[in-house]
Amino acid sequence: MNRPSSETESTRGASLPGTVYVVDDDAQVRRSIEQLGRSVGLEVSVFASADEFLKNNWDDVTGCLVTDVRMPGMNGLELQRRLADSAFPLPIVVITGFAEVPMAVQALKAGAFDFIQKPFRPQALVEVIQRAIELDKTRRMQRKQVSEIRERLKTLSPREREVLMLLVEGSTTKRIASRLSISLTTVDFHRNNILRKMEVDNPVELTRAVDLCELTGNKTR
Amino acid sequence: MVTVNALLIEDDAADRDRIALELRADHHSEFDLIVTTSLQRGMEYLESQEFDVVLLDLSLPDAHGLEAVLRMTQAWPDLAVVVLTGLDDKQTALAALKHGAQDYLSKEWLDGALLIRSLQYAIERKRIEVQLRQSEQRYRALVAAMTSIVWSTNADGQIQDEQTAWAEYTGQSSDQCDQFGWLESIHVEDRVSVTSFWQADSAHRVEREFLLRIWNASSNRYRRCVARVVPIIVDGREVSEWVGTLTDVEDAKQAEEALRRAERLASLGTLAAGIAHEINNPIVAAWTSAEAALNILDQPEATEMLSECLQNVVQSLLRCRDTVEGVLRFARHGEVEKRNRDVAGVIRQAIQELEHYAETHEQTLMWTNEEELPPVYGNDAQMQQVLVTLMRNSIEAGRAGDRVELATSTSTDSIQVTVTDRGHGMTLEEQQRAFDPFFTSRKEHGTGLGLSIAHGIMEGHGGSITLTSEGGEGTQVTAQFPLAMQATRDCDVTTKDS
Repeated sequence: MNRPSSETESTRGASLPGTVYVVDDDAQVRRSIEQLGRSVGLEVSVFASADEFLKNNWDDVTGCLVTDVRMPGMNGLELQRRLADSAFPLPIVVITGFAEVPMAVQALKAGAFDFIQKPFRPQALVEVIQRAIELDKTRRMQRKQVSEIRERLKTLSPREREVLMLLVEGSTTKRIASRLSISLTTVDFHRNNILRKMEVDNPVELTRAVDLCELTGNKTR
Repeated sequence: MVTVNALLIEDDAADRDRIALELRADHHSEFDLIVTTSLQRGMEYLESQEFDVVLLDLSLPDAHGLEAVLRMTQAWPDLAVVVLTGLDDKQTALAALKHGAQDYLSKEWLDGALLIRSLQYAIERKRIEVQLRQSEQRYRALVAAMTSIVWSTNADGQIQDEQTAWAEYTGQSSDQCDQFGWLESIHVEDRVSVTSFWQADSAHRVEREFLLRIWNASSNRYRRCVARVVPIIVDGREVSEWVGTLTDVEDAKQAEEALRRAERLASLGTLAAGIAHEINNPIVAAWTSAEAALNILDQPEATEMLSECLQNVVQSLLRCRDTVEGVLRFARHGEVEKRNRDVAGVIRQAIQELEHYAETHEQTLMWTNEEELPPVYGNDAQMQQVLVTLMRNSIEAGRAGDRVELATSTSTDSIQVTVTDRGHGMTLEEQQRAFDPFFTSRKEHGTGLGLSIAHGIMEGHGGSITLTSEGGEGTQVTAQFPLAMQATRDCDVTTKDS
């Protein structure tokens, strides 16, 4: 069969785990995005207005939100603002109309993941949804890792924490011993305990885990 | 009684007394007479006070004959002067009249009534003369102040006098303008209308306005001018000459055209953006659903979803078609044939057309005060389209069980058709945008062109369409159709009969 767009081959059948929330006031557009999403194995929930979406509880599962910008009542940008205020975790993809580049720019500045302009290629929408879900996945994984690392950090004794800070700064065993006025064997003893408790093999991995915690910690909304 | 200030300049004592006596004897006017014996003294009096009339003897010691008249009329052009002459002095008397005296009286034939009448007439004539002169001065100032060119021709349209303004504008010399030479300055395509005007029977020639391209010497090209000709009629019958103005309207026309062009472009731009916006949604929907269908084509269990996808494709494409049709109707509603129409019949047809539609919405449609109505001048199909649009909107705004009411009323010059619903009503913003092309409160129904087309049709009919609404309380829309004019009504009847 002669397929009009070969790109679809890659996504067809390959089920994309994830949920897409769709907010669009145009019933036919809404329905079509629902059908497209389901055809590539996504869970899709549709809403006819921003208010309807805000009133409903969404599950905190891997996914993304796709919203039209131009809608009667609350428009897409306003919805995006409201969601940002309530620490909405999912990436947001904004659909803009013909010649609405300024709105797209506004959406991106307000933290939208991406925008797509009507009339879009359906495959382009699938791709942007895919990327948004990938991002969400990565973010979720990171969030999980961070919380695990935080849990592990809690198991450390005060002395072990002191040693950890110096290890992360890149200090040698000798230097740590002199800084804390303890013997080299004691440092080694602490060090091994820390690596075991933090579930890492060496100081390099330890540093990376702590950094991840710091970085995402700073970025927390 | 009116007081007349008169100055008598007469050196003969007997004449002086006689005239003074006659004037004093008049019972209709009171003459305040000052008498003096020389022109010099008379002039001094005139310097110091105002006189209505001067009686001037033509044989004074210090000025003889015409000289006295000339000195007097030159110094006081607005003064009424009556000269007194001897019997043998008729020639001088006539010359005096030519030089501005109002009348002459022969001292030999002087009688009271004649004297009084002559003075009064002199005063009156002078007053009119002054008025005329002032009006002519005003006229000349007006002509000078006018940017238009003023010209004149004889009764047949030939230029005979020198036409300075015309010559300056067109660059034609007076020889070139002579007789019908001036026609050469008119663009050859426009000349016909002018020549046929002058060739036509003079009896049918009346005041008229032409828009002509006239050669302009200074800009070296033709410029559009409005030429206006007015006949000067003497004795209430005969045309003695034609005067006209020529006003250069090229700049005004160009500005007007530029504005119209800009407006057209602006409305085209608005329309194009509207079409793009309206069509993009169904295109996206059709394309996306089609793609979804292709994605699941080989999944045996997906038949139901496949059918949903294809239905969405079809619905979306129908929406595209409706938009395109709407745009075409919108663009087409320009020229239609209009006749005197029975509006009641049009209303009944419109109601009939929508009865089924109302039923499917579980609503009723009714004309609350069904009556016969005077004819309106319009196009059946278009008027019906307006009414159908209004009623359909009302049905769509309403809920099951609602009743959409149509009411009519007649005023001196129009018929009002009001459609009222008890539906969801409109916000102020919606009301303001209701007539904008593509504005709709229901994105997936309709094109948003219905009301703007109706608005256009009503404007084309010389009528109007207005809307009032209370949010949640329903909406009332009134279409106002102008009544057929009495004249065209009669006219229509005769064409039907014949």
